[in-house]
Amino acid sequence: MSDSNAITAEIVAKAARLSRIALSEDERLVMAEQLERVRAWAALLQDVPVADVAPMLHPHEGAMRLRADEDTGQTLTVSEVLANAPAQAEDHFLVPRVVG
Amino acid sequence: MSLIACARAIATGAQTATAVTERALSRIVAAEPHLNAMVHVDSDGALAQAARVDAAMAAGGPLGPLAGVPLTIKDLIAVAGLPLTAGSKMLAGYVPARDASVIVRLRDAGAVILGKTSLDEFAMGSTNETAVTGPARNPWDLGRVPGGSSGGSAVAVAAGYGYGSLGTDTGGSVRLPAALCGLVGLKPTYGRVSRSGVVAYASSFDQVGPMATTVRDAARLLAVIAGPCGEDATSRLEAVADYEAACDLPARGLRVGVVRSWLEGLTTETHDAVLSTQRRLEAAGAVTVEVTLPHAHLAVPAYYLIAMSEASANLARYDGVRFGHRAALEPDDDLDTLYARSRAEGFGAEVKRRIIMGTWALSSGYYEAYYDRACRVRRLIHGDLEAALRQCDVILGPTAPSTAWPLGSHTHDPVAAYQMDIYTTVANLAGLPAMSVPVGLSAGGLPLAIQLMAGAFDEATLLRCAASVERDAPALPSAPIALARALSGGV
Repeated sequence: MSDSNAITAEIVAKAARLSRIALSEDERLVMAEQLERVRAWAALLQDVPVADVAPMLHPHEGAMRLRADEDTGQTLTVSEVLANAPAQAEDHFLVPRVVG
Repeated sequence: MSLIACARAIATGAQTATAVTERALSRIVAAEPHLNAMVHVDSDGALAQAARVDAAMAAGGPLGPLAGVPLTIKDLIAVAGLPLTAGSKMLAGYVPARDASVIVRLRDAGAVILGKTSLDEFAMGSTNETAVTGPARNPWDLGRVPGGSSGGSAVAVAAGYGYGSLGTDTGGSVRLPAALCGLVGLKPTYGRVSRSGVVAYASSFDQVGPMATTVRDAARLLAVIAGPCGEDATSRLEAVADYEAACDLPARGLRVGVVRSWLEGLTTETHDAVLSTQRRLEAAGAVTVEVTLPHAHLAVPAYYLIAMSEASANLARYDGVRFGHRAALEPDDDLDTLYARSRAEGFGAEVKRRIIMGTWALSSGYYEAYYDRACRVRRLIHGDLEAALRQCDVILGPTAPSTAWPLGSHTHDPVAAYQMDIYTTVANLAGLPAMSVPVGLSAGGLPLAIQLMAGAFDEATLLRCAASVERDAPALPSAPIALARALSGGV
């Protein structure tokens, strides 16, 4: 693949923002260098003629086997769900204010 | 003693489950300072279960196929009431309310769960070195990696912490540590074993698999955990064969495929281990067939692009709100800051690399050239394997390019680390069953291994061939020599 696809610190910054992972400037530079090495190695795939090959997304490509749409009696209770919450109040998860 | 022998000793009254469990717990206490394989030991729970088995035995009640047998569980699999960390700071303090489906099946079979084993963070690694608790150490040489990501499980079994373990295999994470620690490790067909209650890494690859000291032990563990599950829509309805009976069948008549290109790039001893195994299978009546996998050299980059992309979606759930690590905030910080800081603090460097690389590979402008192209190459590799398995019943090759390597060898070079999965990822890409079988020790005293692959849902043939390999291969010492030396106070 041409260098126009090279992973730079700016591209890492964008992907980190989309991933919701805060990175310092130094971390972005280190990661750009590491990810570019991975990208350049993975560029091996660019030489393979695949235009006529359909993507394979899953080993079993037929329809998923779904269970009946009924209560299995295995729902977690509110207290079970909230037991692992880092912040909670009045049976709810706490988050920073979202609307003014 | 093997898992099967342990189960028999308890079922016949020759030993009590309590005595067996106490021995395993004592072993953990003695060896853990040298090995660092466990992240949580549940002594009380294990002894309580052992007492239940002994009571059932005394009452003459029916015992399950694993009654009283102590096992360990990779800390990526939920055991109700025990901490589940996935090897990450992100899940410190998380305690699941429910057992994973495979744990329900182990409990129904009477197994004793000793505790949870160390792993590369979120199963992302081939050496156990990205574990937040630090690397587990290979009991055959304490300065070497045990392999990963199920490294703690491999060390636990090799060191005698019980008689088997459940790992997970996304790109080789059961087979590679099994190979490096002298164990049998089996990755079942995708869909053979339920993944309900297992922390997701790359959902089109992940499978739970057994690790044990003998092929028959792995067969029994697989028989217990295999089969359809209503809580996992990817689990399949295909019948579960009699895996233990398959271990008794001779190799005579089996067609064993050999990929010549896979013999390049191996260390001499690993190369010779594969060829010796081929010769022994031929002597046992198997027929060698040369097969080709023209696209197999593309497996590792295709695998990593897909796995990272799937991981970037799966790990979006760790948001600092519903569970897991939450960053301390200033009063004016918003929800996006909560997400970004919690994830920055909770995830380690390799996990961040994979999430960000996966997000990039799925993003506009790169999707077609990277993720989509990798998925097309995946189909080519699947086609290669389908064609090869029309000519043979199993494919024989290496599990890893070499024996266990020193700790810290690839810490600063992700590409070099990823290349260790060169022989294992093809089975995950195609969703096929594969297993690693030990075939003796190297001159330096490290375990050598071979890998076998078979057609979808044909674990029985895989086990049949593996049992023959095991019968005819040089036996390993009953315990790792380096660990025995460390326990006796030597260097």
